[in-house]
Amino acid sequence: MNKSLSERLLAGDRYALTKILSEVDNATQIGYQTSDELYSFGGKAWIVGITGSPGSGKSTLVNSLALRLSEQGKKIAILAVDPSSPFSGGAILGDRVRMKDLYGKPDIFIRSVSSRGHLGGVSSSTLRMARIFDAAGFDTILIETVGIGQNEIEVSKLAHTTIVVEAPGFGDEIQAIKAGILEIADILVVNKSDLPGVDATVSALVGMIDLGYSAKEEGKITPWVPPVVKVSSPKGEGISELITFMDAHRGYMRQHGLDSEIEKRAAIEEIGDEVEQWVREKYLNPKTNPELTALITQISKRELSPRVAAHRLIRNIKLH
Amino acid sequence: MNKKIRVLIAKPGLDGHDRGAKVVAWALRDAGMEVIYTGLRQTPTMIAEAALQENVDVVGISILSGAHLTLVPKILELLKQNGQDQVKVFVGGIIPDEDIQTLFGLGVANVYGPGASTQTIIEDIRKSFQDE
Repeated sequence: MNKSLSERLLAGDRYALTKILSEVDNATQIGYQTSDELYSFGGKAWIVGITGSPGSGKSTLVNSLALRLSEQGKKIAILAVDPSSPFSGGAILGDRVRMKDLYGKPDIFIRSVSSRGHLGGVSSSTLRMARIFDAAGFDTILIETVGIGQNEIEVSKLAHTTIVVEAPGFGDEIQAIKAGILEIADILVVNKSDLPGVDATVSALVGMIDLGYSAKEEGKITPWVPPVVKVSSPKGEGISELITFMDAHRGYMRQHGLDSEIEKRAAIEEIGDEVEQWVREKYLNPKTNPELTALITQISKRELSPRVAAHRLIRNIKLH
Repeated sequence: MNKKIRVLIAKPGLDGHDRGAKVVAWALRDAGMEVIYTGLRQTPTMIAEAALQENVDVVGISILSGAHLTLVPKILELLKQNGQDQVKVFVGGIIPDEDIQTLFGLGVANVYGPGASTQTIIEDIRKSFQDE
């Protein structure tokens, strides 16, 4: 091969793109190398997280949203995450079933991703895969999470805009006031607005949001108050309004430099993960580190606490 | 490194019987594979496009309509055009004996009729990757 995978991706080769996505997902050496090579070509795409409980209609919403955005001339990438089986590690990735309108559109690329045992609603490779799409020139990257409960909020750390999808009848106001996924919403979608009970759900959410924001102290910048949008995906109702709010949120984030804040925070986490992994491999293996074995012996004799032992180990970590 | 075998299970053509496809998808998941399920009424172009975007190792095609000799060659041709000649293609459904050899001749890796065990399918897929 005379051209590298990265060069081919930058030249618009879709086969190189799909190959690189697999290498990144599989955490191979090629995957890491290519990610590093392509990093400087990114930073242009807007990453949108779409999350909500199972059956709330995320995939169908992504279908309508991607279609409308591509009609505006944008290149859209979709990372559709589904859960892996905790027993076999396998997965059925079925989001494509609801995205049939998106076939044959050259500007839309759908990639199904298994969470591969990672908790939090996305896979551990999701952000790196999104960056590959970014380098490949996609304008908007839609990350659809697994159907989530009350605590899987990881997508909000990766996405510039987080959309939380609810269906009518999600529960009462107490559900909404609980800590968890409502706090991460930049935009709330009440989906399936053709079903009964939609207005009650909307007003419960709006009420909770008002309460939350009037209780907040005045900060330096005007806080973004999450709008609530009614959407009926199959009818296409509410999609234009949703896109208007997405644009407004992007404007707000850019105006206050909050998009780069998200990237900085994600970068710190990523550096932390990498450092942790390096330390674990190099220093936390009793087979290769006799010092650790000695410390553990002292710990079991109650001569040292694990915390004190950790600090001894840190003192001896050599700069390489 | 955590490579998984990725399989696209596709139903081309007009027949609406997807129970077989779903049973196979379920079994492959339980065997630790990542199965991308596309749903009913897919055209060969849609299947090849999904295979490319998902970078699958295997495409499993379920056909009960009798149109296998029309649909399968088209899918194989499109996979090749997309640079995915290395993808293994398995066919399941109602396939008359005399057509099975034709399908093998076209490059299909295996054909499964009614009553085929999911265990056999799993083993065949695994075997086809051990050879490499």
